[in-house]
Amino acid sequence: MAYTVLARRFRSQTFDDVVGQDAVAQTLKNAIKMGRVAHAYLFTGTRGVGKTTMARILAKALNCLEADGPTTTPCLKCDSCVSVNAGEDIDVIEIDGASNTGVDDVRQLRQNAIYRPARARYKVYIIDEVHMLSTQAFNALLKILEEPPDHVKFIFATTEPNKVLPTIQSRCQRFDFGAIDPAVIGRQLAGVLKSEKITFEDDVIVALSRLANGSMRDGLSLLDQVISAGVEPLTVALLEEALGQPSRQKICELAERIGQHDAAAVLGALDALLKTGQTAVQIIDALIDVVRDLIVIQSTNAASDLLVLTSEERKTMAALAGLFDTPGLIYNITTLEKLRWTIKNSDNPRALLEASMLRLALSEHFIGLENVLARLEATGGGASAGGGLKKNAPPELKAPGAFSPRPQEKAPDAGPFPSKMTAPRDADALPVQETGRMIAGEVTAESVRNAWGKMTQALAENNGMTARFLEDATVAGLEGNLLRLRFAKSAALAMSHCQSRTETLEAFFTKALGQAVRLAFEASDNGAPAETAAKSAAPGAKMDKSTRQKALSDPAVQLLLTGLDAKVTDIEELKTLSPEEVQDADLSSEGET
Amino acid sequence: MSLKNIFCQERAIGALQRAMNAGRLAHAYIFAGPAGVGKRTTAQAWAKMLLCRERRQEKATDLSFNDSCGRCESCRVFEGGGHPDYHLIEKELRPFTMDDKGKEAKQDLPIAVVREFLIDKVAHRPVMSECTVYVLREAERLNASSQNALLKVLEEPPKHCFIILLCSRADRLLPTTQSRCQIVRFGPVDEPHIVAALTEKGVDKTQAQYWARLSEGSMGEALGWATLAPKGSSCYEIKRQLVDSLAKHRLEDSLELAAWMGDAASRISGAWSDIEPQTSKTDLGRRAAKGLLRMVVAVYSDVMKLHAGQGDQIVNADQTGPIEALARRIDAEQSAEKIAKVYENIRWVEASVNEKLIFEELLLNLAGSRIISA
Repeated sequence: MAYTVLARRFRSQTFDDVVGQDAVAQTLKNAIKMGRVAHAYLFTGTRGVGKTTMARILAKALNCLEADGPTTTPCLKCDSCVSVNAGEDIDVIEIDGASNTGVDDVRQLRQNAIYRPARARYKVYIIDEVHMLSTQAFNALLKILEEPPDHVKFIFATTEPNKVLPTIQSRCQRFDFGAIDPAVIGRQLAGVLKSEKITFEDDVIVALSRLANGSMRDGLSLLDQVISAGVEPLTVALLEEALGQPSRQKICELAERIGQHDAAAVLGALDALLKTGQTAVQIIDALIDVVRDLIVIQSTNAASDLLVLTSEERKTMAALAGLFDTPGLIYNITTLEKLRWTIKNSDNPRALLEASMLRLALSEHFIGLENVLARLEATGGGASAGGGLKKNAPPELKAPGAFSPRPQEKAPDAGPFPSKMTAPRDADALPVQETGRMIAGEVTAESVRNAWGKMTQALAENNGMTARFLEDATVAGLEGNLLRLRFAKSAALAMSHCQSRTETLEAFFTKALGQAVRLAFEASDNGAPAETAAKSAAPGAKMDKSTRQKALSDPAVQLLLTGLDAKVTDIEELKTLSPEEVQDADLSSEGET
Repeated sequence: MSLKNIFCQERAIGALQRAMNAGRLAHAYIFAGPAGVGKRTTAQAWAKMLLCRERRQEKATDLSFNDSCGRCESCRVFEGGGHPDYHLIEKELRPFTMDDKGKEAKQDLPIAVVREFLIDKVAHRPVMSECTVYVLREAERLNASSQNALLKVLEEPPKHCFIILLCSRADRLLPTTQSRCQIVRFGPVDEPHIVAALTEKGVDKTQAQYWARLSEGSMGEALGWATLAPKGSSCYEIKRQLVDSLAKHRLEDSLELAAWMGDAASRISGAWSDIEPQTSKTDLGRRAAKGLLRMVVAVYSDVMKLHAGQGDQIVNADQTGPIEALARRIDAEQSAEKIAKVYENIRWVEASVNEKLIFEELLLNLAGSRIISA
């Protein structure tokens, strides 16, 4: 009743059968032909690339009883070949290095090695998983490995060559087995399916060779599992179901939601994935794969050979790639990679997974440096440049129960200079608070100017940063609904900030002025703010305290004040901020004596 | 226990049944899934079926269901717990090995156990049934040398034997191990099933629902929490108090709350040590601290879900008031940041950081203090 898995049944039997390791096979064949077979080989490579298989083929080739000497084409029929295949030949001794790790095991091997082979030409020791031998065991091997009897050949196979002592490595011929190309794996799998007489869709092969990840055995094990579902023809849906793999389509959907910044849908997509029994690590891995593919698509195109995708998938991925920009994707992939480690080491990673995905979805688009420059130049010219910088709308509270729309007090950790994550949120997210009409009587440019301080203060309650920037603006005019704000050329940053929040500001002013308002921004050409005179605040209110103090305490100013019994009405900074000029005070003396 | 009585694992069992019907049952399986969802129960029922000598097969159009008869000699011996062809390997076998004779079972599954109870025995022919079944519990505890020792057996075991590794963290196994086995994934248990099982044990329904959601579909864990009785107040009381104080939490209360959490953790671990006297105190202390931190995570995760419009799925459905109050103070992104923060603290628990410091640091940070920057 026991069934032999495909990976064992389809183990390659000759040098020509081995797929994806042509270089190694060719070298070994040449060595046999020229009679230059070394006495010790070290085969390295990841799981399932053909190390043990190649070792057995070499053993058969050396010992085949049909030929007179070592041959490149073992007959596979003689006693020797058959028993090597079964792993029970008396002259080909296959040792599990991981369970016979001690120095005693090696001593025993040394003692037996001196005896001549029973029936074949060579005594071949195949030590699999050789990296697990202890240091002493390795060292005990050194002498015999350097100068073995003529009839002894060693073949070591390992996935971790770094653990094999350099003294061992220098005594062996080392062959590195590379990962197998997905296309090659695909061809082999298709061949296996044909010989098993199982019908399949071509897409299954693509999906399987992607999952095999460069290992033939992985591919065959997975295929086995799909076949064991007992349904024909094999389809991608069946494969995902049978292997418990996250459905590619669902992962793409998740990526799409992240790209669309739809927080609620991201959580929904995650929940659907987790419900099907996927682990968090699987989801992260699949997502990393998708993001990687997106990066490839963006830097080449959807037809690239670097992608192992079906034609259908190529189309969806190409569409998906439009939602992201490359720096953003790179940010995503690094975040996911970091997250992977934490999640792997946590017992119940679900909440962390959800939280991180949400942050990815809400994080701002990356903007290239050249875009920023372009934007800055554009704002200098007064053109509007909203576009990419605009952040997605944050999730709204859709919870049951009555919520007051917004936190009353500002979030505790949003300090005076909120971080990138929170800064725009401050401005955009917070719906403008109930602001009553602030101007009594007719709304004119003049009345708006007079109430400016009051209005920015009101705005500061919610949108501190925007309000501060708005203080740099002056009202250039009010024509119908159009409120023109003028910024000094030096305040380009303030202007671009306010511009990117036009909607919020328009809503605010609409309330404050009690009429519909549209905003227009312009940069003034002369450096000095145009109509600062309109300010009615305390002298030098616009400056920070220390500058003001400095100006007032300056000896020259003091002299003027005491000597002329003058009063300071305003202090004004010059454009260039050298300390000497700061003190330049605009004095008007009143009541001269 | 027969396969039919196992609930919520239809996918996993279905996959096995289909493989059986197709005559393609692999020799090595990994049963992967969270702890407490029925992996061991399934493995035992499956083994019983494989060993049964009068196996029943119910014909169905889509899926023929194989199950044990429950009457034959093999089944009766199996139920009695002494089947000669069924072997359960677990870390507790360590004192009975030749190499490590008399030594206590450690955290990991040592190579001596694997070698003497699995590798050396697989060659033995079955005695009573047609095959032998080896079930290895807690495969995530296999250390690197144990796993490497297993490789050859997993790849090419004798024809008559089946090996099943039960593993809650399949991704922690070596890739070489994973590639030799077929992985069967076990999903979480449905909430109604857990709630029903808990209410059967006399747990209040709202409480049962909370534990079911907190444990994310792990029956074993939900049962553990719900039936635990620490001194003073039940785990549920502790949780209620924790949620309430988190909702009102302010910077100046941090240290007090941290002290309270430390006290709660020690009460919980005390209750555990009554049930499991053989487990080390440190281990239980960590488990309790992690449990409390998970409750904190649940709170912020609820806030996040509330903001995302998934208010019907929140864990603390019994305490919507405090959660909503908290949701008014922080938005989705902030709660996401806080969740990440708590997870960092959970990691510290495993890294043996002083428990008091962990709670204090956590609460100071949650209150938004910038004294300790994350």
